[in-house]
Amino acid sequence: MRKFRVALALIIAISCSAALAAQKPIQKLLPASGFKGWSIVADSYAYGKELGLTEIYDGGYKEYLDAGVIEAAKQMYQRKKAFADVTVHRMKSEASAKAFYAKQLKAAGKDAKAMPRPWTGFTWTTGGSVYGHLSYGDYYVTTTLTSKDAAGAVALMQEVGGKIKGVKPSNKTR
Amino acid sequence: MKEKDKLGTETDARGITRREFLQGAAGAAVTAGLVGLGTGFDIEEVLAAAKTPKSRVVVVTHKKVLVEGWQADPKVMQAMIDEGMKRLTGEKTALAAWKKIVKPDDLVSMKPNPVGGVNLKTHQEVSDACVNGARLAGAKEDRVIVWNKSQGVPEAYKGWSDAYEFPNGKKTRIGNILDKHTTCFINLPVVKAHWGKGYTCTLKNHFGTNDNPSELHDWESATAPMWENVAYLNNIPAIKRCTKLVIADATRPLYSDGPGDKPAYRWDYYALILGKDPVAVDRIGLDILDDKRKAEGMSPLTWGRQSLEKAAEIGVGNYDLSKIDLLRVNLG
Repeated sequence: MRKFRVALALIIAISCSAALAAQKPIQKLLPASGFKGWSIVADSYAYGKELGLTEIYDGGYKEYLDAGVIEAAKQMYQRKKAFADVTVHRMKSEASAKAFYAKQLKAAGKDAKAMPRPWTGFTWTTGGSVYGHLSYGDYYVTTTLTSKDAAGAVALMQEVGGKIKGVKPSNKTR
Repeated sequence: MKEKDKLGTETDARGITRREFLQGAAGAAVTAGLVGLGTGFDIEEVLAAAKTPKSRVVVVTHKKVLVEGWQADPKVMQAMIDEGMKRLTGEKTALAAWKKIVKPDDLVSMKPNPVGGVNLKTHQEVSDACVNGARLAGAKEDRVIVWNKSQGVPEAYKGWSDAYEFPNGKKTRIGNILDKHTTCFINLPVVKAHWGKGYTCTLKNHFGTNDNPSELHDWESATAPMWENVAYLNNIPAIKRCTKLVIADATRPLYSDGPGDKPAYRWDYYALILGKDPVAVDRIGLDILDDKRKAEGMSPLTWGRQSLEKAAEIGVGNYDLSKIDLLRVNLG
């Protein structure tokens, strides 16, 4: 019986690591299911690269291509009645991430609320929902919540930002 | 254009049965007979007009449909759909209305639009209400499917059709679920401006049922512009044949810079738009957006309009307001 359990555990471990290996590196930057009570919505993961950005942005992909997005991964989460989208974009350069950030900040105008230091990010609460933007190195992170939970948006972006911080230059998602 | 659908019912381009057509034509002929007595009324003209009966479109509004942000009140949404279905079909109860759309042996599939993200996707409450409606009408549980791209498609219905070629040379394949299996398709789009002067609603929602949307996505292409591709895609026989209902989510439309969510260009409209004719529904949705754009000092969504005109020209549905029977219902 004990041998069987060990074998089963090994099979599960191997399956899990195989599944993780099949993930695009950028997917690993998204919050894990269970983070602060957010669970992943089934079948809600989307990934796009170059023209494949239509998988995430449909016809809006041009705006992101023009802004310098190389690839992006998106996941939807649910916590009780609230939903959240988190999208991580790998940009051509830090400069393109900063430029895109500046554009979004301008759109939000005076309603933008800066994230706590050291993060370069903001939230924008409008229409009863929260929109969040974060620029970090050559990554750009967005989140959208269906409720006015700005703190929730900040936490989700900080989680992704922390993971991006941990990406060593030699191990970047290229 | 007439063809046999999978149930062997003879339908025209908009899925109108021979029986429905004859009822409409007979009514028109009787009216013409009464009105036209001694006036030289041309019966041929009346019969010709009866061949393209008006498409009913119902716009149902309720100001309490949104409770917080994008979250909807399911009871209010259900009430809006019930009333819209009754007005659309002319039935006295929602159950009778659903039975007019869904038959017990149908494979019912419906496609919401999730592209705009959590605050701009078709409300879950809309697809839930449609699933309930289809089930009430007698459709079996495992034959009511909500899907988008390959997500939600059961294994047995996966895969792609043979390639369809558009007159402009572009090719596409649509999901087997739509091409070979669905007998009752319910399109559940969101009313949105698309990139530039484009527009996305019912017709464009089929860019989530085909295999190569990125290859058809250029509004400004000289040889195969997207406005044309959208029209041709909806002219694929399987799509025309099985499309039985459209419920467009216009609770908080996007009037510029779509199709992704741009909160600066959203406004509360609190509406659902119901119809059987996808072009007619899209026409009403487009007018709503262009009215808002005009009020904001913006130019109209001309590419979207071109697309609908093309779709009407090739027989997908009615674009002309004179051929649309628009009903507005305010529930609160």
